[in-house]
Amino acid sequence: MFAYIIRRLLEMIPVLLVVSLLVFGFIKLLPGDPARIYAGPDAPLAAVEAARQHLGLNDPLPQQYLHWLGGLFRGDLGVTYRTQQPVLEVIKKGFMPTMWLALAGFAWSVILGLFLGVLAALKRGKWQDWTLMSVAVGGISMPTFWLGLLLIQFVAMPFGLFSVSGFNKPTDIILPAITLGSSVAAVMARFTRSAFLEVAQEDYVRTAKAKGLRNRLVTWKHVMRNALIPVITMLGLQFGFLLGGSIVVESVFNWPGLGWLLIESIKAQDQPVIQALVMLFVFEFIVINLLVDLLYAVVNPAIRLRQEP
Amino acid sequence: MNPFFRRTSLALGLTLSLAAAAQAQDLHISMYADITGLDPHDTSDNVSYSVQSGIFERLFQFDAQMKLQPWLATGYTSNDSATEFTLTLRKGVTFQDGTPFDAEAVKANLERLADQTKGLKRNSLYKMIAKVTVLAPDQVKVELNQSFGAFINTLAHPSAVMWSPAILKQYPDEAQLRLHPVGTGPFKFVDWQPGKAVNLTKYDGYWQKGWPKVDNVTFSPSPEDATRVAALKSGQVDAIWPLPSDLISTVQNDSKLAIQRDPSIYLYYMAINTQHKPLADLRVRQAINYAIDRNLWLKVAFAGMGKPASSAIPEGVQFWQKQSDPNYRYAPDEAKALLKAAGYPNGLDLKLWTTNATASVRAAQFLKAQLATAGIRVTVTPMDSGTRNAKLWGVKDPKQAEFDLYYGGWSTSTGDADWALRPLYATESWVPTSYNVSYYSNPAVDKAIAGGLATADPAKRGVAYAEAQKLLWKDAPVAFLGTPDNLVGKRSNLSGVSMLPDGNFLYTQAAFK
Repeated sequence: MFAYIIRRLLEMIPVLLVVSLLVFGFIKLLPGDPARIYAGPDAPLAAVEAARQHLGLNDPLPQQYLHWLGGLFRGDLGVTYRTQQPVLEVIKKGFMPTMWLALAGFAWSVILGLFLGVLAALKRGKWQDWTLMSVAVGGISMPTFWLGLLLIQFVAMPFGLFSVSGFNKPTDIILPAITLGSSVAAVMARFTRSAFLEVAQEDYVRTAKAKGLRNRLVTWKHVMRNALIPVITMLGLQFGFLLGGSIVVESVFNWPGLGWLLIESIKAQDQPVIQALVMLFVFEFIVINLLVDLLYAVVNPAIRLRQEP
Repeated sequence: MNPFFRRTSLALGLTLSLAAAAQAQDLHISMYADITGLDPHDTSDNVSYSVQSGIFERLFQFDAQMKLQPWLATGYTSNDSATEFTLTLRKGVTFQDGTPFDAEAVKANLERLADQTKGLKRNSLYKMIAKVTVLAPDQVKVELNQSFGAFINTLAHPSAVMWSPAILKQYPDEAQLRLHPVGTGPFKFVDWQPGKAVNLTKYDGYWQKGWPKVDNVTFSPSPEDATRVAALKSGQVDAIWPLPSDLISTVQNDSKLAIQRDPSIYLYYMAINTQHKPLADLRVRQAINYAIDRNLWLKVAFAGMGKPASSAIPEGVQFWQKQSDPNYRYAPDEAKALLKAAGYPNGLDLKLWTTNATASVRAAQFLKAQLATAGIRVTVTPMDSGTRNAKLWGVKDPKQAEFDLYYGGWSTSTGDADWALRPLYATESWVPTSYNVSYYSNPAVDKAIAGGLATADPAKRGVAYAEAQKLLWKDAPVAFLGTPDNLVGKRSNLSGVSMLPDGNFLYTQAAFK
């Protein structure tokens, strides 16, 4: 197990290197002059040139890339062009708000999604199943920003329990978390239902039933456990999507997290921040995938972590 | 002290302090972007300037009509050639750290602003300052390296604030300094949580007795228009700026809310690339100006709140003069006749560039429809601001400039005609040196602009700028459009929040009724 984790971690390095090259390349392709942004929109030409020199933008691209990569390893991400604060500081400030939001959105959506999915599967073909799945389809189809605006308009504004904008008190996390998790809850419900039904048709379930095991025991011991495996894969992916979805939700609710930061940085063409954030999102995605793989083993020891021959 | 008495007095004290806390008046303001920094000398955006204006003050100020008024300086004298200015300073003013405001403080700040090696964003505005001499504790002489008639206006620019000289000395490192803003303003800096809030609190030693009226001010950025308006409607914030013009009805319909509407000096125009052959012809440029209904443009783009253009500079700028020759009204027939005379009886095809902001695209589409009535066929190309900056301002050689028309605007941040004219219309200001994106050149205009700068005598400057405006209006290097009003949404019991014509938000006189 330990060796497996180490190997997986080592495998991350080439992936991250390729990603860093792509990220750097794409950012360089973006139109706009970073030196102009750094120096300010009204700065005279001389100041822009000085900024270009200062930021090393006259260096050959490979040198710029290596410089950036070196900084990445040292934890030095440079300073933002817009506010000239260290990028690391800015990202640190946004990290926890985004994590709290993603976790809150994830928690409620997974619990509800699993519960509704199993319920729908158990009531397969009945009206409860139909109702639940229709709601789920609605949930998947609804654009998150629209749901967010609806919640602001009809929940936050009339009652005053929640801030309309920003993160001012603990309850303020509720509406963005609901918005963020809604489509995940819907996806989870549908996915759990089909995984559950698929496993329920397996031979070993039939055998278990034929042996005279009680229905409830079969459901929980055999069906549930096996159905959970694809569900966990899905969970990992969904958490990754939640981080992506936070970009929209944070903008609508003015949530001071990384998604908000990314949007603002893109608007301001603040390249060091964009680069760092994209790398961070990729890194998170990879780590989540690793965690999902490890979780497989915990849920179902029948899946062995195969050693390389 | 007997325990009963002690307990009672403690309880009483607690109650009193709680009551005081309950009475503390907090002002919450939400704006469209976060600040970029806390050092006005190294800032170039209005959001930051606005927030900073509670902490820092300048020697001269603009009032609501963009007229100069003395502030930390009470007056000035200058020589005829506008190379020497002697400023008299206000007495009895102290910085928030207790340092007295005096001539030494002014010297330290002007020298910092003038130091071109500092690389501060606004250094270039002050490069004419050659020497600052302390004459007396309340008197300072500034010598310039050239005639600069607009010098006092420049000192009223939002970046020309007075830092506490003690703080400047204490933090020689810029990165540290900009986290410790200390000025003479009515509010002290508390903290800045980027993306979330800037907090200020009342400065008890403020020199204007009786001010400020509110105890704490919180600024929070909210870029989403709808979210910002929702925050105002729900009572989460007391004022928002700007109030987007397409959402004014939701504020108008709410009796607890009010709209503060003030004129601006942001002139919208459609730059015309005079390097392109058809547009080099004066008649074509005038035809474009005849083909646009400015009032309708204001309705489409700004809910009708504003003023149509009446000169090359907006009305609020010093030395503005209304132009009426030619009389650019909406006259498609006149436009067609001019095009025909210029050799384009079948009209012509032009490329119009704009940013991809919804309001800009809408306005550009409207202009396209208007020009079509005169036979000018326009292709609108919206682009994100990065592409726009690169393709418009990054051009090294005028021949590379591909656009025919560009929808944009200009704010005259000094409120003086020089900064309204020189960057946009002087030959020396061709992109990329400055912002003359029309690549317009007229020696007579250059001469008038230079003449306005060569003297500090307002009468002489007025004559020079009148000439420049007359020539520019006739020459039409841009399609003059108009100036939308600045809109602030606020609670109706809140007074003293408004916007200066240059787009800076004022809140130092805020008070709840």
